[in-house]
Amino acid sequence: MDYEGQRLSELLFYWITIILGGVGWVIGYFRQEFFIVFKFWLVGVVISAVLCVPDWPMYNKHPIKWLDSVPDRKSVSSSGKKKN
Amino acid sequence: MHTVWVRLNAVVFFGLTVLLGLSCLAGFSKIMHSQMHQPIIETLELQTLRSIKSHGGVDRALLSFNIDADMNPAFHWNVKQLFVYVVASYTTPSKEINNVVIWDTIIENIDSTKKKHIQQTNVFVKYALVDQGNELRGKDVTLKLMWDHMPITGFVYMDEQKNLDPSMSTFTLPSEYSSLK
Repeated sequence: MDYEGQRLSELLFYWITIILGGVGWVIGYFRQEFFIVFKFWLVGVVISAVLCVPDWPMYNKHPIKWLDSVPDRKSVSSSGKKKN
Repeated sequence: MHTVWVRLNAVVFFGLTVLLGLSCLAGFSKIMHSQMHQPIIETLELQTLRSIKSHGGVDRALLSFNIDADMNPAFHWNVKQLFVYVVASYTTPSKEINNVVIWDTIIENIDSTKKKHIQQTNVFVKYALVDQGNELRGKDVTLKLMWDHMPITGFVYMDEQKNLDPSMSTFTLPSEYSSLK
């Protein structure tokens, strides 16, 4: 998972859990039944876990561009000797 | 957030934090409930005084009572159960305040509306009315209904029957030991 993917994953589970919990709370309040809140919350956490925990391809769209690898020190020194 | 385990930990514990927040909100949402909704207590009165005796040096009275109390208004979504109990109060020369629990019951929020309305006649006491000394004879005893709210989240709080009608709830014990045969 790249850095942009980590940010996306965190925002996703944050809002999914809060929104489902909030909607469940409002429905539960008007129905006067706390178990409804718990069910909505549980659905939110399960969706978050499925969507945000595994390393899905959508989290790997911004791969980090590393610098080219530095040449091996030994080969550099041996090539220098040859010049002398 | 770079490994599966870190993300799983974040999702689960953020979820639990949200659940805590929702539970607290539910607790706060009903903070004024008992100011607006009170159980309807139609009847709480002595039916029969079975006996008043000296029991190992202390006075003990056994009685039965009638009760008609609709506890439905006390329930809301944050009440798990009510612990309802009948308290007998009286005053003696040596102890000014005496409160004795003589009967109790538990009503759960999953119980039916009918079961939340306590309607029973000639209920025999669960716990005898026992004085700390031997001063029970001839005293005026008042029966009062009290109840504890046990919430899903938040504080346990008590409430009690208001506007007691002395002609119904108060009775005088006989001045001599006696019993029904």
